[in-house]
Amino acid sequence: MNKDGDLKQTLKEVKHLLLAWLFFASWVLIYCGFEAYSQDHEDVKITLGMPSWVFWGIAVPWICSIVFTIYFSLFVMKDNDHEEK
Amino acid sequence: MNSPLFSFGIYMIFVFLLAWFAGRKSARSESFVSEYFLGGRALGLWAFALTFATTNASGGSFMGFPARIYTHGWVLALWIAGYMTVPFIAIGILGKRINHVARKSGSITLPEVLGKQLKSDAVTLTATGIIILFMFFYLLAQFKAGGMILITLLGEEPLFKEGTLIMSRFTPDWLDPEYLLTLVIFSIGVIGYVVYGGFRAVVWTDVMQGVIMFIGVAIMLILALNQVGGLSKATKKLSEMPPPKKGKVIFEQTSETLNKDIYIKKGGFYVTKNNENIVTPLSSLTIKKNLKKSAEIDAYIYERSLISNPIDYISVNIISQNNFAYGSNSKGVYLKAPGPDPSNATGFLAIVTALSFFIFWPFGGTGQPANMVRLMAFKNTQVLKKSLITVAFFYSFIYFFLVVIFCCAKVLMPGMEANADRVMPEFAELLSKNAGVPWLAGLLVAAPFAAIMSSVDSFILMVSSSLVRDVYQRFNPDASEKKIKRISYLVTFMVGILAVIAIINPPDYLQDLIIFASGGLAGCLLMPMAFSLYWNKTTPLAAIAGMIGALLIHLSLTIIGYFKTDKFSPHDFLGMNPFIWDVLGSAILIILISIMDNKNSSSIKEPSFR
Repeated sequence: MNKDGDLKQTLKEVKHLLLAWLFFASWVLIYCGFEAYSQDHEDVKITLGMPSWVFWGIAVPWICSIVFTIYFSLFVMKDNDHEEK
Repeated sequence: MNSPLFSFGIYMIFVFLLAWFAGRKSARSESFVSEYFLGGRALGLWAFALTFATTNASGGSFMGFPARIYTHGWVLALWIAGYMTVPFIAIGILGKRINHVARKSGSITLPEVLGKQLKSDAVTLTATGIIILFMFFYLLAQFKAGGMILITLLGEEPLFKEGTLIMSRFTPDWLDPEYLLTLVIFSIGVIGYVVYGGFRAVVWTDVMQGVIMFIGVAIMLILALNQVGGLSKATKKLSEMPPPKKGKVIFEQTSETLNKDIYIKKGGFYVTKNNENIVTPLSSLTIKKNLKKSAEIDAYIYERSLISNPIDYISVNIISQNNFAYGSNSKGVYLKAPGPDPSNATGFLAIVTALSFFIFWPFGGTGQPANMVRLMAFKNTQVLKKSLITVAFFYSFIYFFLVVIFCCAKVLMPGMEANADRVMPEFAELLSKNAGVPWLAGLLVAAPFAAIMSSVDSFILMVSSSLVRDVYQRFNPDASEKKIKRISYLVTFMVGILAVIAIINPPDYLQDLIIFASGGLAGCLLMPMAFSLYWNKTTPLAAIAGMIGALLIHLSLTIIGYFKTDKFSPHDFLGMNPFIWDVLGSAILIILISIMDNKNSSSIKEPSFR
């Protein structure tokens, strides 16, 4: 890959990352916006010991973000050709 | 010597040994400046991943964050949720590109990368000024936190008490001799190893501190869940806890205590005359002998049944009591958003504020100069890829489980709202004592201490590298390697000493200063750096306008906030963190001025754009 190719590849990676951020931000904020703020305080559902909105709106997307990071690091991010190995 | 102090002492010995080895390696290096300030640009996986992770996790992560979880409950999981994207945004967006550009241009510091990329000394000097201005505030807060944690460990030691007594003879009344002594001990330690070992010492000690933080959280999690009887039980108990009331109380002497001074401790537990409530004062005071009662003071007020072992030898009367502005008389409020709040009628975390933090954590982290410098120091893309995964696991573990741990703390150790900043060391001590291993408290308290040290060392080096490389070397380009070495040691030492002098009498609004400084740094530097790396039409004038524009927006919002709240607290325009307005303003200015100033852009085509 030449130097111009390196920059293009890096920009492609940055687009992936920004889209991923948008996806996780939407998931967390929309889900929690509806579930965490709206329910009756007296009747909070619990999943795996935590409030259900924390489990589905934060814990699960958090795990998915780790999976995305692994996928991105292994399959999307490319080495620069001319760098030290 | 108490056992927590012993285990903490062993930890500190390891820190100094690592710094000593690092210093020897730096001394043998052929290029002193590159080695001292950037570790020879050869950081491998663990060094890069952990120095990046720990520098970002400052004292606030282990002191302020637990205090907020304790005060507001599970909603803090939403407040911190943006950290799920911090690894891939803060490392991934700029990492590969900034490393490549800095390596190619031989840049050591961040202002140097900007200046060389845009071929402008004015850009370098503007960025240097901004870094020194904001970073200094940041340093002050971390030094204070370091001193405060040491008080927890040393407070009961006879030798320390004697030292405090001697210190009090030489200090004026307005100085707290206990704090002053711990500040001196902390400063000698940290400044010593940073000056001697440089960047490599900072990185190696960061690695060890990262491991300590990880182990500390893991042990606390196991002990807390075990002692509370499982997370489900903790959450159910938490759902039954109402927020305390806040009010004014008066302490009165009894006939037994009338002939001596009585010290009322901030956060201590005192029973009311009618035995129905317990109060915890928000400030300490002494009732002089023969004075019948104290002045009115603010306090949290709880039901008597909440605490089993209050200090009850002094009588206290409740003058007035008010509900929390949001969440009182409502069970389950600690399990839901927006979370209880003593003074905000809309609760702790409105959804628009949650959005603001989801933007601030990852993008604010990207713009922190101490993080960007680390991105200049990894060896190659292979290291970057593996580090991304490592940091993702590290942050997920630390931040999510801190929420779990301190929700358990609320159940196991109720009534600490008045002293919430001390919830971390107190809970570490309680868990270790209950588990029958008191020495473990030393290791657990080492976790926040490690977080503070790993930030202080990085910030000292950041400021000194800017002064040596971007100011001294710029005006003395022919200075010999030996002279630069001496100047580097001296400047690093002086930066540390100046910070200590400035924080001898710490202001109350220090936490606000941290927010002001971290937001300001990222707001001013993120966009100029991102545009200079990725957009070849960026001009020097546009980059300077981006930095100055963001600085002015940041200062304006802080001044407006000051006049509105009478505190050093920035104004959240439309509920959004000032950082977001800084970045928006900076980006607009850079784009507009670059387009208007485009005749200059052809001259800045740096080789990395061809």
